[in-house]
Amino acid sequence: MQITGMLHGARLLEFAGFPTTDVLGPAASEEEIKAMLDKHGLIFIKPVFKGGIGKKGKAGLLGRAKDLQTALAEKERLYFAEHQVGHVKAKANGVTFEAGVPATHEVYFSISDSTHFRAPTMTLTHMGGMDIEELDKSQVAMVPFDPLTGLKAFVVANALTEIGAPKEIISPLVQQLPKLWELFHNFGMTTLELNPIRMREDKKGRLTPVACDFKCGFDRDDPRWLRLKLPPHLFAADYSNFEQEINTLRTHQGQSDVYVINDKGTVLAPTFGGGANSLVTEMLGDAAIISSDFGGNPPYEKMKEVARICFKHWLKQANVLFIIGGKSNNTDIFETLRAMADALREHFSAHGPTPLYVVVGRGGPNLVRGMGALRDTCDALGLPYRLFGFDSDMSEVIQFAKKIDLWMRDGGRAQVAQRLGIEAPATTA
Amino acid sequence: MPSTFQRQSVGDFKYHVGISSLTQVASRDDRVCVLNILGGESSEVTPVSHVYSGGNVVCGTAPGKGGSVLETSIGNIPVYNNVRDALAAGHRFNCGVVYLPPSAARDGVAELIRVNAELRKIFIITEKISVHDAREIRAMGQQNGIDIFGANGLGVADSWNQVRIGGALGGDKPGDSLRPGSIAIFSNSGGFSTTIAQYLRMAGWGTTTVVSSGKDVYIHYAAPEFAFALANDARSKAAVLYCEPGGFYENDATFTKPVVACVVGRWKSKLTRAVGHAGAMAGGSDDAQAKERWFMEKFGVTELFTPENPVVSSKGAVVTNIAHIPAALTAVMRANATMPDFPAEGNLALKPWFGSDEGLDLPDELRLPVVEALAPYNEQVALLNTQIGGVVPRQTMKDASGASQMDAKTQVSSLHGTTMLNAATFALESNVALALVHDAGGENDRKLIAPAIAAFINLYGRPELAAAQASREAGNAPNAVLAAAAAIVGPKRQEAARAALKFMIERFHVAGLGMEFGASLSEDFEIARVDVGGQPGLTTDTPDARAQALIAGVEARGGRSVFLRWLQSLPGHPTEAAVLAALCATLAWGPLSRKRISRATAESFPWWLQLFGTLIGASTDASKHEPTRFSGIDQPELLGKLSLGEIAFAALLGQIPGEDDLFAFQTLVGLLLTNGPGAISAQGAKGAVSADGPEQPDRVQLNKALIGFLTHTGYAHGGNGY
Repeated sequence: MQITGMLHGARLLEFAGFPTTDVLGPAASEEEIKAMLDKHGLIFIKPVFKGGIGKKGKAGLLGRAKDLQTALAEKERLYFAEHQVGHVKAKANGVTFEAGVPATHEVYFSISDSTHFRAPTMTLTHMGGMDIEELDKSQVAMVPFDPLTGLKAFVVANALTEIGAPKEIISPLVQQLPKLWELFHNFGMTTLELNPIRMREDKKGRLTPVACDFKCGFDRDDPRWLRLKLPPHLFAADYSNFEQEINTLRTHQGQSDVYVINDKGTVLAPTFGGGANSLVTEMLGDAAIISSDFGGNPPYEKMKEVARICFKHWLKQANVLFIIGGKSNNTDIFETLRAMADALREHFSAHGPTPLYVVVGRGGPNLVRGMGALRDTCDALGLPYRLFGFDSDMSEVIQFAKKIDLWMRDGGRAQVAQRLGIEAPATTA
Repeated sequence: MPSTFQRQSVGDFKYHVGISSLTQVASRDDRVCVLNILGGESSEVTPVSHVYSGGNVVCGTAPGKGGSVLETSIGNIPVYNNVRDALAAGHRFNCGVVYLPPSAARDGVAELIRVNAELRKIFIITEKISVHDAREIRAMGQQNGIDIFGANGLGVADSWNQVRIGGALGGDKPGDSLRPGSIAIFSNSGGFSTTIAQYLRMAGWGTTTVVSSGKDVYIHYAAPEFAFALANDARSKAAVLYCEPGGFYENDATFTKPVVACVVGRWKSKLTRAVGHAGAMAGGSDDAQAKERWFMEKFGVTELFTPENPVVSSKGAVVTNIAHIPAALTAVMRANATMPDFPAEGNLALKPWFGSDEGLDLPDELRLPVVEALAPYNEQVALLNTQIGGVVPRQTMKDASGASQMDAKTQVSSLHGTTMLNAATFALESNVALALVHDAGGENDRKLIAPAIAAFINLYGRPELAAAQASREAGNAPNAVLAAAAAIVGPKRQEAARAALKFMIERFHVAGLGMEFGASLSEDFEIARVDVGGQPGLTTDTPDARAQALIAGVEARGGRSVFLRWLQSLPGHPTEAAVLAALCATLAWGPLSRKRISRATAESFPWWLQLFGTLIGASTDASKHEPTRFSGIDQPELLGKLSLGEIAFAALLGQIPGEDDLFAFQTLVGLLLTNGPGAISAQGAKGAVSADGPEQPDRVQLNKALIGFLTHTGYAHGGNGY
């Protein structure tokens, strides 16, 4: 859950009392843009992306204008710009118009939780506006601090002195930067980055730090960010329909973490436990439809509902239903397997049969009873299956499921369809 | 509040670490207080930990439930409203376990630290704690010199000390996984801590201390301090680490003993969101591949270890598959001239406990044979296998059996998965089988069904014929006429056959008749294995004419049945009920053993066949029923030659049909098999049965169900009264 850009960033910074440059959103009228140009002389036009995505400047996605015509032309160029960094693709929907701030100093500032120091850590340099990775280490301060007392003025001052920052920027930064900690810590952020902060000079030559860009990330498990009353659509794009449906079942009584890996995949693998999730997703690769963790001892009703939703979206295309986890510590295997078996039965009842091979690898309390319930259902529905206990190596079980999937793709599925009395030949992946 | 300089810090870490050796992680001297001890998870897990450790939990808290206890097999654990009350009652402890929900965990930590000056360790089991709270928990622990384990972890265990603190490491029988040996385990995954311990045992390695660290953004007891404590633990000769991407922890660890590192999660570089493990996230310089490189550098190897390419050094090896851990460890230790702790305990090869191929043509390597599970699971599996027939899950009363369905797009109905378009191509016998045992069956089934029903078609001299005739002469609709006949064929008419059928099913199951296709007509099955004792009514001293006629009919058609073969081998003469039962057993055996139908369905079969025969017979005038002929057809021909379609046609239309007529007739019957779910006729049947309370199966009267069906169909709807 991330936000980039000043469209929302400016509002959050205002909330914290941190000075920002003037910002207009995509709905700005020509009069407003003209007024901004008149006041500031130079404005930047930036595409608005959902989520976090960087390196926009390098990709030529930064517009500048000193007159209205250019501003409007840049708006048109950037309104629906597309950008990709690594695996993350984004398409803009709108632009912001941001006033240029003339300055001789540009500062980079960020806070995040460092696993080196095991504490919230401030990264600060007076050589802002550029790629921080390219700077010499002696010019960048990375300072952990105590979250119970917060980011104190002296911490900022010491850091700036150590890296040899110009004296005139120290006092203004010391006054303003600590406010960002409050924003970060009290509203559920895990990262916050301002790059650049430009030091604006007033008539008397005093400097004020002005935020000219904004990036932050939120902690999904921290409800504090709700206090900011951000528009919900900002984060909705992160999830597919399927993921959103499962998320409505999210409680702390049993995880329901799920992620669509390949919507054309053929192995539907409800997985239990974070470790199992890692191994299974790694080994199945693109054959997997989802990566999931349904562990944590969910009660029968919840497990059945989760299964129902998974089947509704994915069972038709699946060759293998692969229920997998380690030897559970507290998840009741009878409750969970029975819930999935009943959901499978009901799915067949409502939608008719679909060719499927069932593979299970599991261990834990009430294991045999759970396997019995699933076995009875598979027998009743006419589905082939192999059920493994915890004394079979999990990665071997995963390999077995993969081989079954290959056999299904190679004509097995048609065979199963025929046995089940399904007339039209089912599509193979 | 005591400050850090009163608590010794060990090592040269930039932060406080109190534990200098793994022996101190879970020791026999530790005393534990569990916060939220009566919560769902803790109430299951804490007693097991307590008993395994010889009684190390001295008290617990649960707001508002002070004064209650948590029962364990070695005595009750007292529960208080809060930590202060527990201390006031005289309890002393140095460890706290936090089972509080995410929003309360931090305050629980604060309470433990503030109120108890003797506190040294905290184990946080809670998952999904916000990063905000994790920061503060870390700071509080650091300021007060407390070692914290977790969050989102499964606690710790020590095989030598036989102590477990915190969560469910090793499940409900920790002793099964934790056998003393020389390997320490550090795992980001709780579940895998146990799994890895088990895998090591299989390869002959036991454990010393097992630490489940969790995989949140903040890992409070992480690889660097584990490495330090490992170095100072004389019992541990080596360690296994299981790591996921995210965090620079492992990079900062210095190992002085051999280590096998398992890094899993290359695929996570593609994600933009965490799944399961909050900190194990997307592509940065601390992703899975980076971690693999860190370890490879530390160990001085240039490749990963796989069984095909076993790259190790005396310092360690890196794997990406947990199954490779045991082999890698053994290889690393061999490079250190060290043998496993004890002989290998087993292997992890694939051992299916249950399996079914459903007659599919699978390649050999996928046809893994089912094996006996390890004790005590094998006994449980054996118990489960004594059950025959399917079990229908309890459903709220709805027209929801799923037997009849209608395709929303084409409006074509289906019965038990067969569309009416297909059913229209079946012989009448096959449709009977489809309806009653959910499977149209094959040629042999037809050869058994036809005579079984035919035996009950000629109603000469029977009251049901008189009833039907009287109803007909009074001008009743055809279905009322049939209903009158059906009303006579009540429970007593089929009691003997039902009992015989029940008996046969049980005895043949015990004798091991299999569920493969064709089992019920097998010539090879040794009928001598079937125990015959104790069932009256299967045979009589004098020949039973009806029984003999039925057998003759089956043999004339070439029908085969292992049950009939067995029946004929018994001394005496088979009764009609027994013969009917044997035929029904043959037909029902496959679907029953493959759990398509329940026992109750199978045992009702004789009654249905009698009823169908009766209805076919009653559909024609009484004058057509003669002592040795029906509709002009001789009995032997009826039983031994004609198909059911031909007989039914003859009953309705007075003559044996030619090929085209038979085709049209059977097509019509097939098409009308079902109108889809929720039809009024089906409601009639259901209403008639539910009126008697079908929770007690012996109250269900099938002929009444038929009457309900018949009375709810007539000239206007329900197949136009056919």
